[in-house]
Amino acid sequence: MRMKTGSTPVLTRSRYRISAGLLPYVVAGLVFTVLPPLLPDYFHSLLIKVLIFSVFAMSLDLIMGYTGLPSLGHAAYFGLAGYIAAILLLKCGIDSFWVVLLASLLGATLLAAAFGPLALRVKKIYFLLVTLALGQLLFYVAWYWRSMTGGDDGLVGRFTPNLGIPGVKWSPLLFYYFVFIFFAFTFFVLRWVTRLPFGLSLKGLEQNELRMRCLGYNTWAIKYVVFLIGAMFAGMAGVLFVYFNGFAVPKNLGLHFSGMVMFMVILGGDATLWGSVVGAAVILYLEYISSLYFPERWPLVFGAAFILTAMFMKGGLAPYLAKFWKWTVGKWRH
Amino acid sequence: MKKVLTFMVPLSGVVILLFSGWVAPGFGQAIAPAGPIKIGCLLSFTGALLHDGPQVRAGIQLALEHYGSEVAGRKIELVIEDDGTDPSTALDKARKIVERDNVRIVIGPQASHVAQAVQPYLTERKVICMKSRQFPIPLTAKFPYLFVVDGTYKQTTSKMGDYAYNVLGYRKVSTMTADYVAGREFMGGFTERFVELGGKVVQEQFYPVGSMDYSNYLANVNVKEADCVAAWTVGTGGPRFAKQYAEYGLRQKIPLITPFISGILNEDTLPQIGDIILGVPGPSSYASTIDNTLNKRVVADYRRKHGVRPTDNGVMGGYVNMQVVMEALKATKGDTDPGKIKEAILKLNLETPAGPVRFSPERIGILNIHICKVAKEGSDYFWQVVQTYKETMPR
Amino acid sequence: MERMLLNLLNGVSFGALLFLLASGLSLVLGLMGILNLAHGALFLFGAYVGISVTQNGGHFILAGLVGGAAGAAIGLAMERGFLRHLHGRILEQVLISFGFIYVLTNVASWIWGTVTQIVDAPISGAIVLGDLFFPKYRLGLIAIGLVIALGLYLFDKTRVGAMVRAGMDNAEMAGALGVNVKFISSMVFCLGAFIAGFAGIIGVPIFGAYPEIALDALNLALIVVVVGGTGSIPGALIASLLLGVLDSFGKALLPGIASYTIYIALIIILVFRPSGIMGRSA
Repeated sequence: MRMKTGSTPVLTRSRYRISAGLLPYVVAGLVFTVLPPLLPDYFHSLLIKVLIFSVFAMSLDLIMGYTGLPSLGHAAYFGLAGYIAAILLLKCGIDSFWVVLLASLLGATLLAAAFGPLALRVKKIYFLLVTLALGQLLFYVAWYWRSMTGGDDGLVGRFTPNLGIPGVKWSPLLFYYFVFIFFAFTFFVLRWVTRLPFGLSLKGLEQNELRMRCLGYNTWAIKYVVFLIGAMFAGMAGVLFVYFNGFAVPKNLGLHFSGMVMFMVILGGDATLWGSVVGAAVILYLEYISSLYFPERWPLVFGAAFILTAMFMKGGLAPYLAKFWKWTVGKWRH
Repeated sequence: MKKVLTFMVPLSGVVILLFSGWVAPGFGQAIAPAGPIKIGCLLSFTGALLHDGPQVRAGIQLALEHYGSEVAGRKIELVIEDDGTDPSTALDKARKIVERDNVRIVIGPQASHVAQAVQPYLTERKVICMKSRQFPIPLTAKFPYLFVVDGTYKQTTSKMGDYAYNVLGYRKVSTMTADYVAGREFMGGFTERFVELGGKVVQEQFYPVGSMDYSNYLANVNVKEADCVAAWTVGTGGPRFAKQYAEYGLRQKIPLITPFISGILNEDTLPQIGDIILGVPGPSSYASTIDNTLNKRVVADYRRKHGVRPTDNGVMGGYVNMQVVMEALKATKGDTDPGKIKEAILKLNLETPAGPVRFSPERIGILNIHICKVAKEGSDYFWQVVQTYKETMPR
Repeated sequence: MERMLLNLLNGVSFGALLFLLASGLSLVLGLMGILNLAHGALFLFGAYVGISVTQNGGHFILAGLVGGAAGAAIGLAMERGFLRHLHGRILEQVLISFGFIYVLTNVASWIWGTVTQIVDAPISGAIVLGDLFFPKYRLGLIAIGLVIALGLYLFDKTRVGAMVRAGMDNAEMAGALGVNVKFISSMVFCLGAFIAGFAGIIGVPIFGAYPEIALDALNLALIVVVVGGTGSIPGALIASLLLGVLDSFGKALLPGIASYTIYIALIIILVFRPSGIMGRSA
């Protein structure tokens, strides 16, 4: 009887704990906080997008990279939270950012609570198929329910987060720092989750569920909880995205985004959380550049990138970057 | 050594990527007042309206040729970007052309939901925007720097209400259109006017956007009560619809009219549909058969360059918009100050290939609407203008 | 009464087309465990290639075969060049097929342009049902659908079918028993791709061919596969017919939710029987 394992054989996977300790965080922190004001204006929008999608990608990484549940409908939670936010802002006149955020997170989590049991009944590729179908379902609901969602026109407005703090004047740079706070929050929270006993059990679950069950773990409950957490953070990204763009459209729920975020996680390498951040950055940048230089052919470039990554970068970028870091640090120390 | 290579390769890839974005042409150039004037074009080359983008571009480029690419000693440069028929992408591109390329005037976008998404940003930056194709009144009113030369959906389609009732003598109609905002607006303009005049809508059908199969709706048409069927589809659906209409025997039983001849019966799809569609009428702000000197020149030049007749997308969406921009710039003597350009545009009374065009105080075009019928000469299919409603007002 | 019959026939013929569209996907998924998202892109290519054949004077049947061959050729390249090296790696397979969607769709619009193309049905005319007409071509579709269904069913029952299933369940063992697993895998994939390409051109008289059809077609195929039971051809057939008829009657009788009928069926299946009508729980 063959044991079903995760997407890479157990022996070649390892957790890349950077032994250089605090240093990478300091460097990354500096890059993220000090660099932006020095960059030209229009880069700010790109950076904001990178942070938002990093949150989105990390939330999927938890579900897919750590627990091994390949969800190809993750944009459903991202998009739904965005829609709830837009509806509250535009139709219910609710202004407070916190209220909007909480309501949207609740909505996304509830959706996952409903979809979860449906999807978790099946395994692996069928899980992928079902999550895909559910995601598409939500897409079409958004598309046809014109009275609520504005149909394919979507809901449009100019949203600035009302934090209840007087005297806040929003600019792209300020919004960037605002999003950065959420990004950092997500990163550390998710990292903490993966290091809890609960989180460590995720890896075990991915590698050998049967064994985990024999050891007394309620694997279904674990998967369900992870699914909810992932959906919640995806929702968080979704809300930020709607504030950023000023509109909620069916595309936010659709296959394009679900596929793109999955790509980000895979590109980054599903062994680490920060890998997804790298994945997000690379892909958004790639999309930006290829659309710039090849206005009509950029999907070709994009698609080719998907294919090349899948073929040649199994395990993603994170291992390379980690090795590079170790090498650099090693050289510097000598 | 090999280990170094294995990560140097993807790493260098990443660095090159980063660098190319940075040093790409046009980075950070400030535009001196006497430097070139950059006109941004947000057009769809990918996504749902990918079919129309190249046409609009062709129209803009032809106008530039006809006007010469200079105004008041300043060179005119086009910055053309793909909006992907997607609000997100369009917004990114809008940011790019405004912040990086210093664009002060934009032509586009084509799709209304995309336009809606970029307008708040463009308005905030006081960028003059010439929408490519129609846009409704309430939305245009919200954005003080937005101009819609092609009028509103209902402006065009309501004229079909007049034509169907007064000229064709129909009294009862069965409608069929795509179930989304544009589909409903196009049909709505027609049915409102038709009912205003005394007609009756006996049946309304809405099919899902992206429908591949109209058979159910066609089978359900109320042939007993209706005098005619008014139908509209997006470009991809036109040939399908026409063929199925014939296949289901409706061609013999009940005449077909369109609330808007563009989309469902685009000129470039007519050869594929063939003779079964001859004689079907519909309104359009532009047709290649409009009889004026400028249009003859535009059609001849366009045909020479591209081998096909210019379309309403190309002319209304592209050529005329560019005309407006050029004339406004001539009036302000090359000054791109948004207030001055806006004033100049509002004063314009322009002769275009589609006939005379001017703007209402609400910045919406007052223009002629032509009722066209599908006709052919030899193997050349086109929209033949049969009636013109002059100086229609936005509604 | 005739209207009911017309709706039924419409539904069945739409169902037949759905089956043609989905069977290739179901076949590959069931027998090889590969979810080929680029299935719709193969459909698209078959359609365009077939159209080119008819425009150059080829008979429609020839167009069908060439369209199918085009699908098979691309499928072969995909399987041999890429998917084969990713055996068992679901995520990478999905990623690759995703990438192929982008690439193939863009190449198609590069070669054939972006205008919707359509060709006349090879059998014109309609049968008359009282007041109403039903195109003969759609009857033809029903026939083709049945033939393919039968063909696939028989295939499964043959030795080859058994070999394929053996290869999927346990490649090593099957190989040890003398089954050329690699060859069989390629063959099955190509068969699925052939059906997709063939379905593409067959559907053109009704749907036309346009770049977005890669996604529209994929969407429909996925729903059929989920509802019918992943990997089950009989399931795909039942699901196709069911969805086709539901869709047809939904549009006729309940125009308010007409757009949703297929998705409602999807939800119902997912809630009550997630492995599909005839699926084995994975």
